[in-house]
Amino acid sequence: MTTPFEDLIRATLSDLAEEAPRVQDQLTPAERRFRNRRRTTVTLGAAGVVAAVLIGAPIALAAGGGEAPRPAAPSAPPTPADTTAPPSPAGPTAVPSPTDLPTAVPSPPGDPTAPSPSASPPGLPDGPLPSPSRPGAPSPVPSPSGDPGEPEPLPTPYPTPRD
Amino acid sequence: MDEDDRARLADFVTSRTPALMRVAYLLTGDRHAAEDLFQSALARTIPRWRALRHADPEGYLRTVMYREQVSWWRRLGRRRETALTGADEAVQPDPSGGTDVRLAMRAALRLLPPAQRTVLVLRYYEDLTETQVAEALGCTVGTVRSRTHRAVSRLRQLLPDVELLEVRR
Repeated sequence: MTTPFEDLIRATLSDLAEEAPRVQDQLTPAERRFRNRRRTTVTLGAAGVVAAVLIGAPIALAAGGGEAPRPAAPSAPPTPADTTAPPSPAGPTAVPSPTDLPTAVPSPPGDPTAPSPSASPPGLPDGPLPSPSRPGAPSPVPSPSGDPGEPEPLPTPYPTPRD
Repeated sequence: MDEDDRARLADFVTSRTPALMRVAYLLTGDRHAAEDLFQSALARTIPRWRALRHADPEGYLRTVMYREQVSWWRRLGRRRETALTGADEAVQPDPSGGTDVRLAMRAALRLLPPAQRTVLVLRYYEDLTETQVAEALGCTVGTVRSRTHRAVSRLRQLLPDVELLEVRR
């Protein structure tokens, strides 16, 4: 069932439809439009592919460029000190301060009694061994069981992992 | 597309253009916009003609027109045209009162948004059911109902005296 208002809408639409313009050949402009549309689609598709390559190539290179070996980092050789007192950032630093270290500069030749760790030949201790730490202070790195005349190796400044 | 297909397409366009242009004119309310809508729908139908020629090319073309009319992109284009030409001016109802109700209704129809106008054309000119309209527009039946209700309410709002004039006649 329709209301008079809906009948009025129908009648008005029918009147309007009778006034529709009469046009002739619509196929030719439609074909032209179709060709333009296809050209636009192809162009936009190609532009999209180029844009994807331009954006993706640097990213792919950055992601795949890690095959080159990393620069070598000096690693401390395993020493017995690692098992006894591994230096860790949380623990006491094993690096002695420069003020605590005895000077490794050779003493002047006129003072043969002065301790000189580097000037003395290895295996020939002719004086007291220099200790990098102050007397009485605990040494974090015990001296290896090497020759007593050899100077103690400086503790490695690189922390090694606990495990 | 070979010559035979093109000849069939030309025959189809020639024979069905008047009816389809009437629908396009009702959907748009403007001669140039109607031609543009029809050509645009035809341009979308041409690449599928080989598959459609033995099916229902007119139904496909009509559906393309309906959906094109309510599409978001086309609305953008219409806004651009409006900004350039200012041709879609609001038409005032006939000041002579209820002497020409249909003219007032025609002017009111022009003021409806494309989606509501399309639903009215499909329901009251094409005589489609709500389900058929929903299939043609690719929306739900509820959407069709709400759009129809809003369109009729808007027309009643624009033409408050129409029903009184109808009774007087």
